[in-house]
Amino acid sequence: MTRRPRGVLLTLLLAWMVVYPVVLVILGSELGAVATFVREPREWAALWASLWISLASVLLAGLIGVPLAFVFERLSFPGRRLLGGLVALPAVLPPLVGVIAFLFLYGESGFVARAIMRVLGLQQSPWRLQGAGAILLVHAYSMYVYFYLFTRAGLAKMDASMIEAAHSLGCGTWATLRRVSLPLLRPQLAAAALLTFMTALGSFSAPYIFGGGFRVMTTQIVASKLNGDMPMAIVETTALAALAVIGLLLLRGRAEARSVVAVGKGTPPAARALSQPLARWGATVVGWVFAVVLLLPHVTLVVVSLVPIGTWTTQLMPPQYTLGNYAALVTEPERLRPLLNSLWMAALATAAAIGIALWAGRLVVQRRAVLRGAIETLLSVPWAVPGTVLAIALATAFSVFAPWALRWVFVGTVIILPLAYLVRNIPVAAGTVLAGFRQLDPALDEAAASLGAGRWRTLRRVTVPLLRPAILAGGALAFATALGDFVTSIVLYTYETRPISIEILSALRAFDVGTAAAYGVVLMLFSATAMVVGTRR
Amino acid sequence: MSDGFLQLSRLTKRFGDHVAVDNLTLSVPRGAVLALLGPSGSGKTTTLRVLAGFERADAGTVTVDGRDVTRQAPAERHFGMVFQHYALFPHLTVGENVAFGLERDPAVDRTERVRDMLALVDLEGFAARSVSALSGGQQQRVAVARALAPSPRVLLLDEPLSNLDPSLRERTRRELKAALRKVGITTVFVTHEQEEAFALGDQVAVLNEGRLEQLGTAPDLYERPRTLFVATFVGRASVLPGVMTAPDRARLDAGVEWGVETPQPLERGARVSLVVRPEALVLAGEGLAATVTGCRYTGARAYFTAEAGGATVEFEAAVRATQVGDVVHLRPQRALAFAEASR
Repeated sequence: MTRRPRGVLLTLLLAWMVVYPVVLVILGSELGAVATFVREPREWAALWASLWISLASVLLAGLIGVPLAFVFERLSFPGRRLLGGLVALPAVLPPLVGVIAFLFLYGESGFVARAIMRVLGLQQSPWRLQGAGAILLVHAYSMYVYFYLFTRAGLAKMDASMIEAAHSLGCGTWATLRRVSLPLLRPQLAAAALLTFMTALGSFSAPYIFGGGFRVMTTQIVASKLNGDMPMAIVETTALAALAVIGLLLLRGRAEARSVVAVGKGTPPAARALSQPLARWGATVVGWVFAVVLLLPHVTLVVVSLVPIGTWTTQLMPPQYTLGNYAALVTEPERLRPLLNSLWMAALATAAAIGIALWAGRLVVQRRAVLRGAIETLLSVPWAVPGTVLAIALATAFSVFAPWALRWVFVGTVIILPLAYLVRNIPVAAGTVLAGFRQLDPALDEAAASLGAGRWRTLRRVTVPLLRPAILAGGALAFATALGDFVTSIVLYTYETRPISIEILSALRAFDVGTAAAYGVVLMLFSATAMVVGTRR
Repeated sequence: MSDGFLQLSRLTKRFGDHVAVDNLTLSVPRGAVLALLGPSGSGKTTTLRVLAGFERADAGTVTVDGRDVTRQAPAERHFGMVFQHYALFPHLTVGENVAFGLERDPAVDRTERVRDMLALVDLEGFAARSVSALSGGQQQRVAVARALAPSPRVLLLDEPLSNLDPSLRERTRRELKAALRKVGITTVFVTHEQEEAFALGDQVAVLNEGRLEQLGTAPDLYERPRTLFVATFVGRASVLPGVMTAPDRARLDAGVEWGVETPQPLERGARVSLVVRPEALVLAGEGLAATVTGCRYTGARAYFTAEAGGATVEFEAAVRATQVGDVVHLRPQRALAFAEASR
């Protein structure tokens, strides 16, 4: 009996789902469209806009997230634990929800604009929330959380005696920050910068809602697709994918270049308490102000979700509040439908992603299959592919019936969205599950085998129960992401399979802000639950 | 002892209800090495951290050369510190670590100073190495060089040898002693190992529950312990309960009467704990009757444990002098009596 190398089947499956469609898109670029793209200044402007918006987002997110992490990790003040958890919420909040929350708070008919109009007696809103500034504001507001979480994690495991050593060698607070703390955080900061850059580059909701005439690559692609100019959409997609790959390679190189490993055996936890009453009081105020400002959009969303359609016109605060919008989500079949669609599609995609993650974990970690390097790369590829690129790639690959090329017509069927969600979910599910596998004692598997358990029994009785926390965490995050997906949905949905995000958009277009907000709150609740489940140990 | 170069006066540090350092007064002459010795939880590390400025004293003062530094920040004190886990900066090379504290003094030639310091700890040519590529002993020496580079007024060391393999410890201890002597710096270090304290310290302060039990040289502490805690914590000793029958005599609960020394005066009839070193307890024709229960060989002589009226005693004798199961009679050459611990 000849043994085929382990992992061939999984490698092929992943390649077919993850890489093949993107390759088809790139190869499918028509020369005519390429020529048009190259000659068109608007396309170059959009590409440049994508790049600088992403870089500026990294900068702004860092400026918010890093100080915030220091405040919450290093200082102790009343409410620190609760607020520290709440300000991490945007990590799992679907981007579209954050965007509409912003609209209701800072938009031209939002609470802040209304309040200013009232105070100054203006007839018109003092500003329009539009263009690059608006996009950057939303990005900074939602992406600071990467810097916040990574920096906090870095600070939590930093050796307190490093800081004390710097102090005893004559460094004051700022010199210690500059010469010791920040250099030690370098790997975490680089990882957060990379994540922020990739997220900003692929960001669609904010530019789509707030961009106005200001186009970035993602909105440009969807516009071309909706205008029926598929060849142009394909060229644009290729350009964005190239930008993503270049950014990934450059930033990852920097992240790995000087990652440092602490020496010495023990790592005592960092000191936290503030002794002086003034400093303690100051930290409390800073912490609360930060948290309230960051969480205000989400509170706004809840308020707006209680507004019946057509009742809130020029008043500062909505005149009526009811639970009618929520009741309608459940009682009206047309409103319930998107909710159910999103739920089953997200559940299916999550289950499949976890299945693939377990399969991969077994091959990569336990069996150390020959193809483990290829499998691990394939598992992380979707993370570097902007959602829009993936959507166009799937739309291209699976709109043709050619079984000999492994292509079928999925576009327009119920399969396409769960497939898209699945591909998008693979990195987060595989990341957590593989990390779980790495913590398992390899001897457990052998112990089960020596006790007569077969492969499936070992999986069911030993592996899965031990991996439960990892599976729950990965599954919860994947589910929340899929449930709130907007960027792939807008390219691939059909009326029958329209998910929540599409319904939010059409509610907004119908000026039914209450319904849009109610959907948003539902997504927010699912995300918060996912976060609680996912971070519990 | 009120005019040392480094002076701790009535120092107190509390953590909530727990008093970690209790009214501690200590004095270190210029250039001397003081060891703080005690079991874990005795407040020795807290004392060191208060000295370094990492913890703020609740009461009392620390002065250096007559100037009060109690309220100064760690960065202003010009104290060098060697951490238990060294706390070398992993993002810097060996040379950059050693040069780290030299920035505040622009007059210093950094390259030269780094070279001198590395030579002092016998690590010439290591400046460009990464600290993570060093062995534990080398890391410890870099930590010492880094702390000494800015010419601090006082050097503090927190368990400087506890992270080394036993085989490496003795050599590193000798090297550390040589380096300290060469620099001639006023030093305070913390340890829970008496051998280390005696080898490195000119004076040893024994701490227990945040209080100073006794300050002295190694022979002082071993030969003339002033408290029951010091008598039992420093060196090996057997403790037997008894009652004072005269100013210099005590009757053991096991029946016999011994002549004793009393470091603190004791009244007749007081309950006491009698402390005897193993080498001071000798086999005799009569005296305390004990059944031998164990034997630990150390060569020609052995340490025997024996059971006497419910208490366990340890004595030293020739290997063949007795064996397990025998009933022997023991007489003390020297016994110390302390008031019985009030618990």
